[in-house]
Amino acid sequence: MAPNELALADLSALSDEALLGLIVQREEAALGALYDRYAALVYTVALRITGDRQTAEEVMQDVFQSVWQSAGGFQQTLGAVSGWVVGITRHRAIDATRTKRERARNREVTGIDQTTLPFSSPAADAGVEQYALSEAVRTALADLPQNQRQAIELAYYGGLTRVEIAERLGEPLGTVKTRLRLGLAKLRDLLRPFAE
Amino acid sequence: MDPRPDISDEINDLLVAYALDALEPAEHERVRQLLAERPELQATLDELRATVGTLPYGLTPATPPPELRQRVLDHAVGRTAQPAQAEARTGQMAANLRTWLFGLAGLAVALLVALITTLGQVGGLQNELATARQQRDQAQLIAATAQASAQQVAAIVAQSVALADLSGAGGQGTVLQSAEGNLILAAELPPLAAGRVYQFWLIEGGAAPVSGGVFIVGDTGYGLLTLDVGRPLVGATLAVTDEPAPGSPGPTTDILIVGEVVG
Repeated sequence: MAPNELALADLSALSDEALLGLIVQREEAALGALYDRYAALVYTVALRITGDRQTAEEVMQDVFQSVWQSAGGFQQTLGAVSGWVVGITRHRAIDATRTKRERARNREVTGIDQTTLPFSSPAADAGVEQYALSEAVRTALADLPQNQRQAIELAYYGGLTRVEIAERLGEPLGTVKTRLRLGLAKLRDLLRPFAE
Repeated sequence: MDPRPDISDEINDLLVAYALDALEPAEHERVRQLLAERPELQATLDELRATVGTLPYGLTPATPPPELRQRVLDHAVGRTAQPAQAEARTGQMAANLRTWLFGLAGLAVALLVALITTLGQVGGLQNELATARQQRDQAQLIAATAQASAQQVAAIVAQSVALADLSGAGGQGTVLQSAEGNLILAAELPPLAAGRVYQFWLIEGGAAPVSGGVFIVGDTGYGLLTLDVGRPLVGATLAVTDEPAPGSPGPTTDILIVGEVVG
């Protein structure tokens, strides 16, 4: 079956890598299928980082444009497609936040008010495996000392370096390094069954 | 509980920061050297990166708006959005607002409406008029504040065209244009502290924000403001801030909700 004859139902059954292969061949329906697979995750991350729906939507546009344009550059040896897409999202969202600092000032980087977000039910929208992962990550993060979790979130969602985190928190650089190291090590131990 | 007890804290720190993308630019080369000298560290780094990769799954999922899908795909492949899609989007904005209002009407909750038509036919939004308009805003706020039923507001909305969605951590809102050409801002925002008002701002190009009026919200968190700018505002940025009553000459606090007028 030629790529342009693939129905959406067929595409949804394909692996991420196969979809990227079709995207390289300019099969727009494959991009749509990848969107359907990752839109919620991309939007969630973009919204977490930007704290603003409009900016998050702009990030969504940039992310999938980047996927369309650079699918051929994806290297499976460096990780999964999901990690690649989330990585693009994270960088675009951090860039957008830096560009629009007047919006970024609306929130603390460590705590957007999640109660204002349009929630969806993880159980309804995700498979059992992803639901289990979500629960495991939440539990693991909740299990971290607050200052370790804060340091990790400032790095990952805030896009701050260790030096910038130390400056932001008014803590010695060595303290921040220790918090990141111990925090991520504990997460790794708790999440090892889920980490690829 | 170090990532690798058999390697130094300094190396563990570098690998952790590399995995989290938290290194200073000059430190990246140090990690590359380390990996070249000690290939066995790659496995530790991969494990840390995989752990970092699980972090987004801990977030409470947010659902992108359904109409975003086509917009994203159009943008990705370089296709200009069709007018019908733009109409669909503005139609969605109006539908969202009507949903709010329908809910209010169903609850028979009175919507506190600040019907402030302050700007008049100004033909422009020159910054030098901002102070004068602000004073008019202040004088008319109390006098013009009135109670109106949700049904009355819904009737206004039914005859209006959606211009912009406003969103942000502080709440949400929709700006519509009535059949008479007035702008109508409907916003859902948190209750105000004593002595505070919400202030609507119009920002065009690089010009300073110009006040579009002030408003308050009722117990339900809904507020409404009407104004007549007398001309199109395509591309203008619209925003709301929380200001000391009876308003400010310029924004003094962070933007709560913001959006752009769609074409």
